[in-house]
Amino acid sequence: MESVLGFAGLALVLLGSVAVFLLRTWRWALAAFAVQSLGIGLVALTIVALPIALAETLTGWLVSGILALTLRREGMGTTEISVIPPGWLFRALLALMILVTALALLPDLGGALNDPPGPVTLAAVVLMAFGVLGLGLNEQPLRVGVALITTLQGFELAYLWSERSLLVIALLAAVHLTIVLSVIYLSAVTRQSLEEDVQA
Amino acid sequence: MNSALLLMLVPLVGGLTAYVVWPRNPRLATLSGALTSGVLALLALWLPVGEPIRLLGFEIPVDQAFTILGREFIFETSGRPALVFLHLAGTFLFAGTLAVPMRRLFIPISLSILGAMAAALFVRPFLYAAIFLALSAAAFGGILSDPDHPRSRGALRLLVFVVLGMPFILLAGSQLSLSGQIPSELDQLNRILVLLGIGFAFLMALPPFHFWVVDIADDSPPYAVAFVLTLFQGASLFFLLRFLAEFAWLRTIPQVHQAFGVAGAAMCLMGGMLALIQNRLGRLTGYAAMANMGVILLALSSGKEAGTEAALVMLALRGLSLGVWGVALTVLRQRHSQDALTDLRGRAKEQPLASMAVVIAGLSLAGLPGLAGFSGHWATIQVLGAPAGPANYAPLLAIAGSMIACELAYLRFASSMLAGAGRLTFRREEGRMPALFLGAGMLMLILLGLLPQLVLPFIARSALLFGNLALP
Repeated sequence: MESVLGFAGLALVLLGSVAVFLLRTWRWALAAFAVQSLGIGLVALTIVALPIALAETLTGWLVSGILALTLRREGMGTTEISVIPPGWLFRALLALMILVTALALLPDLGGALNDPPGPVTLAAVVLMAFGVLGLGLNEQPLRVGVALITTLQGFELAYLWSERSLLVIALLAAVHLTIVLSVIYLSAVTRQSLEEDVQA
Repeated sequence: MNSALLLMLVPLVGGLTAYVVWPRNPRLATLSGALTSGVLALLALWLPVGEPIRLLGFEIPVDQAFTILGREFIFETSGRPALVFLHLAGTFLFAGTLAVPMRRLFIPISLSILGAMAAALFVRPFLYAAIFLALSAAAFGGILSDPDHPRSRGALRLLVFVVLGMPFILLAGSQLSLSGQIPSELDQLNRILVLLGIGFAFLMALPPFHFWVVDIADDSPPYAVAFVLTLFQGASLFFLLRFLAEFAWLRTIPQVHQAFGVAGAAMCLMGGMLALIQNRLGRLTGYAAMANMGVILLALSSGKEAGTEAALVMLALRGLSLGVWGVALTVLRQRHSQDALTDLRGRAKEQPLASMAVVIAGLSLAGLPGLAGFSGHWATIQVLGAPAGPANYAPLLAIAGSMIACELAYLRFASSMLAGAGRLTFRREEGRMPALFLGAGMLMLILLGLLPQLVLPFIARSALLFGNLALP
C-alpha cells in the first residue's frame, strides 16, 4: 500500500512540477501547484505519519489559495493566454533534461540527503531542480515566489526523512507563507508603480 | 516570568503597538519602536540567567527556557552580547527614522524581525536558527520596497539567496553528530564542509551570491538598507560564530580558516575594485559594505580570540556608519531621486550637511584613518600580524587595497558634490531633525575615530562571551 501511495505521489509530483514549469496561465499553473502539493503529501506519507504529510499538502494548498485570491483581486489570473505558451519547446526540452539528469544522478544524490527511499529522493530532487530552474528563468516576484517554494518543498520532503520535528515543520510552513506574502507585496508595489507610470 | 519568551514576544507586541499608533501619530509610533528596542537591549543585558530577580525586597523567579512543539528555546549568557548588539543597533536605527520618516510597515516588520533574530539565538538545536534567518529575509521584502522604491530586484535576490542557503545548513546539521565529535569518515566530513560552505556563502553574501547587497543598496530605501546590512548580516555573523563555538572540532581544521581567508580576501578585492568604477552612490556603498564584510571574515580567519574581537568591533562600527549613511542618502534623494555621480554635482552647496555626512559615513565604512571604521580595520591588520612569507601578504594587501579603493571612490563623489559649488548661493535645505541626526552622527564617527578606546574595550570584551574561539 505504501509503495502504491509513494508511486502515485511521485507521479503527481512529476506531473505537477512539469506543469507549473511549463504553463504560463496563472489559473492552470496554480492548479498544477496544488496537484504537486498533493503528490508531496502522498510521497511524505511513506516516511512520516498522516498528520505531518497532511500538513505538507495543506501548506501547499494554502499557498496556492492565497495566490489565487490575490490574482483574482488584481484581475491577473483571468487573463486568457494560450495554455501552451510561446517558447514551450525550449521549456519542455529543459524539463526533459532535468528529469533525465535527476534519474541518472539519483544514486549519488541520495547520500547528500541522508539516503531516503528512492521515490522520496526522486520527488525531492525533481522539485528542487524545477524550483531552481524556475528561479533562473523568472523575474516576476510571484513566479519567483512559486519557484522558491517549489525548491523548498523538495528540500522539506528530503529533510523529513532525517528530521521530523514538529517545530521545524511549523517553521518551514511559516517560511512558505511569509514568502508568499512578501512576493505578493513586492508584486503589488511594482504593479502600482507601473500603473502610475502609464497614467502619467 | 520567562526571559526567553519575554525577549521574543515583546518585539511583536511593540511592533503591533507601533502599527496601531502610526495613523494617529507616526512620531509616537517611531518613538515607541526605539523605546521597545532600547528596553529589550537593557533586558538582554540585565536579566539574570538561572537566578531570581530581587526587586524592592521581592524575589521574582525567572525561567530561562520554554518549550514549543518539543523544542527548547533557552536564553543563555553566551547569547547576551549578540542580543544586546542587535537591540542597540535597532534602537539607534529606529531613532534615526525620526529624521527620515519611513513607511508605516517599517517599525512593525523590523521589530518582528528582531524577535525572530532573538528566537534564532535561543532555539535548540541552534542549527534551526537558519530557519529564523530565512523567515527574517522573507519579511524584509516589506521594508525594502515601497511605492517610492518600487524595484524589487534586491529584495527578491535577498529572499532567494537566504532561503536557498538554509537547506544546506540544515542538511549539514542533520549529518553532524550533535555530540560535537568530529565525523569519522573523510567522505562524510568533506560533504559536511561543502554543505556548510555553500550554506554560509549564501547567508553571508559571499561572491557570487553577493548581488543582493548591491541591488538593495541601489534600489531600496537607504535607511532600510542600513537596517538590513547591519542587523541581518550581524545576525548571520553571530550564527557563524556560534557554529564555530559549538562545533569545536571545526576550528581544528586549518582549511576552515583558510576558507575564511580566501573568501574574505576575495570580498575585499572584488568590493574595492568594483566600488571604484561605480557611478551611483547606492551601488558604491553596496560594494563598500561587501569589502567591509570581507575584512570581518579575514579577522576571523586568524583563528585567534583577538580576531573575533576585531570582527565584532568592525560589525558595531559598520552599523554606525551605515546608519548615518542611510539618513544622509535619504535626505539627498528627497530632492533628486537619483544618486548618480552627475545628479549629485554641486549638491554640497544645497545640502551641505547631508553631502558631508554621506561622504564621511562612506569613508568610515571604508576605514579611513581618523574615522570610526578605521579602528576595526587596524585591529584586523594587527591580528593578522607580520606575514611569515610572501604568500601571507595577500590578506593585508587585500585589506589595504579595498580601503584605498573604497576611499578613492567616495572622494570621487565628494569631488562631484563640490564641483561648481563656488558659483552657487549657500543655503542649507535639510530639516531640523535630519540636520541634528546628521550632525550628531558625524560627530560620533569622528570622535570614535579619534578616541576609539571610549567603546572598543566593551565591544571586544563581549567577544569573550562567545566562548574560546581561538585555535586549540
